[in-house]
Amino acid sequence: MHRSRIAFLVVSFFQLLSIPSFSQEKFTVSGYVKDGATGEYMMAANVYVIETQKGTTTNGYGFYSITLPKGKYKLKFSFIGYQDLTKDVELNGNTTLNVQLNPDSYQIDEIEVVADGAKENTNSTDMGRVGLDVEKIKTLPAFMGEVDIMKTIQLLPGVQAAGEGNSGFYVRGGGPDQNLILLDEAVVYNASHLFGFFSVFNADAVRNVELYKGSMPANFGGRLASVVEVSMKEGNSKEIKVDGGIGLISSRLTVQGPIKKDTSSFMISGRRTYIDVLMKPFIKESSPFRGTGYYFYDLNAKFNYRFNDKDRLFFSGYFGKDVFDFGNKDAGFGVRIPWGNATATVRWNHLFNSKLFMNVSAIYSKYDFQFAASQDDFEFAIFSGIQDWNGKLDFFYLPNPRHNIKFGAFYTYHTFIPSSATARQGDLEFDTGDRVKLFAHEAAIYFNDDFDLTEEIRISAGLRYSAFNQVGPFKRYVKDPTLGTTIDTIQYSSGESVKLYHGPEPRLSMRYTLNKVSSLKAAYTRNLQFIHLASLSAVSLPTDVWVPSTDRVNPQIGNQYSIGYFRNLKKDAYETSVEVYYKTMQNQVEYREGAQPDDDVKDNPDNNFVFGYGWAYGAEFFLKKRSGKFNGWVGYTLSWTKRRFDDLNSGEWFYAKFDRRNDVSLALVYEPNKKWTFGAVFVYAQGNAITLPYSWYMVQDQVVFEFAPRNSLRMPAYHRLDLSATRKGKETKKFKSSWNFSIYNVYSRLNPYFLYVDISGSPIDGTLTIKAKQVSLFPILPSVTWNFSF
Amino acid sequence: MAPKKTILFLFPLILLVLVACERDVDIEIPGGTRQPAVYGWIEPGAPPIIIFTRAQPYFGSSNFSSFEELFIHNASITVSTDNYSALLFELCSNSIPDSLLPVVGQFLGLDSITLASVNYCVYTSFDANIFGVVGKNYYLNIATTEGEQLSAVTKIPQPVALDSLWFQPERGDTLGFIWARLTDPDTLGNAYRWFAQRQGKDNGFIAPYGSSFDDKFINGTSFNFGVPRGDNDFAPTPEVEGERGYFKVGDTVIAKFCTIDMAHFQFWRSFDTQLASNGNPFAAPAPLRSNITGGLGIWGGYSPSYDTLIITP
Repeated sequence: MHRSRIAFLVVSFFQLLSIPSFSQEKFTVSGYVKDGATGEYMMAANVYVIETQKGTTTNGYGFYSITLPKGKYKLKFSFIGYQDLTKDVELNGNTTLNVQLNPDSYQIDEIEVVADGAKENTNSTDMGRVGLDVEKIKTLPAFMGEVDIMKTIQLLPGVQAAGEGNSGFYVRGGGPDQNLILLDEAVVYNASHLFGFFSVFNADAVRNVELYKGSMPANFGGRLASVVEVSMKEGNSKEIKVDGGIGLISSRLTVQGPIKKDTSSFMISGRRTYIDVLMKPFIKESSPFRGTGYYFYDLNAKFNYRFNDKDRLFFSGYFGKDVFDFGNKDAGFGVRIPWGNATATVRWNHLFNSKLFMNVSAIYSKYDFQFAASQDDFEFAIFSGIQDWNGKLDFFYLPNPRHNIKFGAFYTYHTFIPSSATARQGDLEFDTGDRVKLFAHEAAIYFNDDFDLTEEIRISAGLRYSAFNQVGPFKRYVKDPTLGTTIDTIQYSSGESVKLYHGPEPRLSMRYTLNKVSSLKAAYTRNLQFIHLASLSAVSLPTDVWVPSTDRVNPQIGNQYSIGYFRNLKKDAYETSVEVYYKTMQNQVEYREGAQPDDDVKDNPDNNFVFGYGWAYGAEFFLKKRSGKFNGWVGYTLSWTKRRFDDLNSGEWFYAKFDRRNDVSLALVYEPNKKWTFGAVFVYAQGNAITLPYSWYMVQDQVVFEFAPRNSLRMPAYHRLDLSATRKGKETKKFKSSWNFSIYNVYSRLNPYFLYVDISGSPIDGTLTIKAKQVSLFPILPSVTWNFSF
Repeated sequence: MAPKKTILFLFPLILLVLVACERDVDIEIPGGTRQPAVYGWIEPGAPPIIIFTRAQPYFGSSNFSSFEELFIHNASITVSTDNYSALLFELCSNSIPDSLLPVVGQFLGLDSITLASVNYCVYTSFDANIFGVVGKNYYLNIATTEGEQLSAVTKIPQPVALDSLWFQPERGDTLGFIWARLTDPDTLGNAYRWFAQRQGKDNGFIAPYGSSFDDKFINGTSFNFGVPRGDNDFAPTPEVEGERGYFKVGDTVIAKFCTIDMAHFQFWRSFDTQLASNGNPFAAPAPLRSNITGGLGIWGGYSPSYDTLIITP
C-alpha cells in the first residue's frame, strides 16, 4: 500500500476516535430539497460540501442534514436530470437551508456535465440498489402502449421477468412472494392486472421507484429477495397541472395542484381499460357470449399539508380492481371474477431538530379475490384475500457527517382469508366449512448506522429483530398421514396464541474505495419472512393465496452473501459493476405433488404444503451510460437456482422453475433532438425449467402420462426486441403533448408461453400420436399513445 | 358431480384463446421411464382382473410399434385376502375363440370389440375363493421376470345404493343427463364412482369425466347430482355428433354406482385432473396418485349397486 495512504489511514483512525472529544464547535445545516417545477420533495438528491469533499443524500422525505465545524462552506445540490445548484453557507449556528432544483430540460443538446450523483455508484455502501426515474422509463418502448415500471425493473440484472408480457418478477432466485412491493409504504400484495400483463402502478401517478435486491437496509424486512419502493407524486404545489394519455387499451388522467400555495397540494390520478367497452358493439344481443368482458381500473390520490417547516402530513391512497365476466347463455354458464388491491397511508413527518427527523405512518392494505360461477342451478364461489393494519415509526438521526443513523419500529395486524368457498345446488348448500379467517401479529424493531470507518471504508451495519404471532380463532384440521382425510380438529379461541416465531436479522454491507473511480463492496443480509404465497400453478395468478406462518409452516429464512466491484469510466459517464452472490433459503413452501384447488376448502391450506430448502448463486454484470444523447444500460446475469424438498421429486434436488442460466437485457434511449426520442429494449433469456410428461401408459383405454423429474426440462429460449419513438408535439406555454409509437416484439418471435404434450388417437388401433406443442402469446404488436399535459 | 372443478380451469383459458398462437415444437425430452403399470380391480362375486403393461417413453428412444408390446408377460401375480392367496394366470384374447369373446368380455368387464381387435392380455383367476367379497381387503403382489416387485392393497367397501334415478333434458326434449339422488352415510370418508351402460349401444360400463367424488363437502346429506354420458370411442354403434355426452330418450341405461376406498378415489380424481389440466398453462403438472408400491397405476376395489332407467319421453 502506498505510504501516503497508510499515513492517511492512521490519521483517519485517530480522527474517528477523537470525535467525542472534538473541541471545535460544530453546527448543522439541514433542510429539504424540492423540485423547482412541481414543488415536490426530492428523495436521494445529492448534497455535497465542496470544501470537505463529503456529502450526503436526502432521505425518502426529501430531508438532509450535515454537521460541520464552524466556518464558510459551498454546498452543491444535484440530481440527475436537474441543474446543479451551489449555495454559500456560513455556519455560526444551526442553519436551515431549503433549496429547489430546476429540471435540466434545456441542456439536452450538449453532452451533459456529469453530475456528482454519478459517484453514488462507487461511493455508497449499497449493493444491488437501483433507482429508476419514471420520466426515463416513459421513453422506453411500452407493451400495448402502457408504460410499466415493473417491466423496466425486469430489465435490470438479477431480476427476471416471470413470463411473456408478465409484470411479475423473480430476484436472485427468490420466488414472486419474496419481493416486498410498497406503494407509499403500503404493501401491495398483488401488483398486477390481467394475470400479470400489466402492473398496478400507473406511471403518471408515480414519482420514483427504488429496487433493493442485494443489501436490504434494516428498515425493510419481511421478505427474502427484494424491496420495490414506489412513491406516488405528491402533487404540484405551485400550479394546477393536468396530464393525460389516450392509448389503445386504456386512458389516463392525472390532476395535481396546490390547494393553498406552498402549504398544501393534491394529486389524483385514474386509469381504466376499455376493451370491454370497445368490444360491446361487436357482440350481438343474441350472442351467447353477451355479457362477457374484462376491464381494470386504478385510482391514486395523494394530499399533503405543510403545517410549518417542522411538520408535514400526507394522505395517500390507491384503489384498483380487475373485473372479468364470462357468460354463455346457451350453456347456462356464467363466471364473474373481481379482484383488486386497496391501500391507504397517513404519514406525519416531524423535525425535532436539525439532526433528528421522524416519520410516523398508519397504513391499511387489502387484497381480495373472488371467483363466482354458476352453471344451471349449481353455484360456486371462492374467496381469498389478505388485509393489513400497519403502524410504523422511523427516526433518522444524523449526528455528524460520518454517521447516518436510522432506527424505528414496525407493527402489522394481518387478517388472511386463505381460501373459502361456498357451493350450492338448488336448495342444497354444500358443506364447505366455515369461512376461514386467520389472524397474526407481526412486529419488528430496527437500528441501522451508515458510517465512515476510514476515508476508504464505509460501513452500513444494521440489526432488525422481528416477531410473528399467529393467534386464534383458528381451527386446525388434523390429517391422517397416509390417506389425507381429516381425523380430528383442534380449536383455538379468539386471541389465543397458536404459534410465536421471532429472531434477529443482521445486515452488514461495506465499501472499500480502491481509488477515485472504483470500489469494492461486500454485504451480508439475513431476512425472515413470515407470510407465504402458495401457488398451485406454473404462473402467478390472482388465485394464489397468502398464508401466515402457523404451527405447521415455519418462517422462511434467507441468508445472502454478496461481493461486488464497482467502477466508473470516462469521467463518470459510465457506471459499471460486477456483483456475485450466494443465497440460501430455508423453509420454502410448495404445494405437495398432485394438490388441487379445492383441497384447501374445508381444510387448512398448509396441510397441503411441503417444505424444503433452496439455494441460489450467480453473477451480475451491469454497464450503464448515465447521460448524453445516447444513454441506457446493458445487464447480463449468470445464475443458478436450486431446491430440495423431502416430499418432492423423490427427495432429489431440482432446479426452481425460474432457474435461468443466462439472461441479457439491454435498454437504450437516443435523443437526437428536442423533438424526437427513440428507445429500444432487447431481452434474451434462456428457457425456464419445466416439468413435462416423458412416458405414457394405459388406464381404462385412456393414455395417461408419467412426468419427468420436476423441472428437468427446458423451454426454448426467450428473446425479443421492442422499439419506440416519441415525438413531441408543438409546445406552447400552456400545453404540451407527445405521441409515443411502440412496437413490441419487432421481429415477431414466437416465444414460448408454455409447452404441453398433446395426444391424439389410440394405441389400440395404432393411431396414437404424441407431440410437444408450444403456445405463444404475442406476435409483433404495434401501439400508439397520445400524451398531453397542461 | 360435486363442485365442478372444470370451471376453475376455464377462466384463464378463455383469455388465452383470444390471443394465443400454437405450434408444434421439437424439444428433447430425454429419458422416459419404462416402469410397470397396473390397471387392476376387483368386485364382489367376480375375479380380480389385472391389466399389466409397461410405460413407454415417447420421444427419442421410443421403440413402441404396436399395442401388443405394452403387455408384460410371464409375471408372477398373486391376489390374497387375510387368509387366502391365489396365483393369477395370464389370459390373452387371441387364445380365445372369437365367438366366446363377448362372453369372456362381459365376465371380465372388458369391452369385446377391443378384445377382438388386438391381442389383449389380462391376469385373472377362476378360483372362486378369491372372487370379491364386500368388506374384505385384497393384497396384490407382483414379480416380473425382470426382477421388479410391485405391491398394493385395496378394499371392497360396503355398497351405498342411490335413492332414485331420473332423466332430465338438457338439449331439446330428447337429449339430457341422468340425475340421481344419494344419501351419504354419516361417517366421513366415503367415496364413489359412477358408471353407466346403454343397453345395446355400449359394450361395457363407461365412466364419464369427473366420475368420482367423495363426501368431503356432502357428508351425511341427501343431494342430487347430474352426470353426462361418458365417451365411447369403440362403441358398436358410432357416436352421433351432437349427441356426445348426452343420454337420449329411448335409451335403457344401467347405472353402476360404486363405493370405493379413499386411495382408489384419489387415483381417479388425479386421473380426471390430468385429463383436464393437460394443455393448461395455469395448471401444475398433474401426476397420477398411484396406490402401487414399486410401479404405476391402480389396484382398486369396487362395491357396486345397480339401477336400470328406461328413458321415456
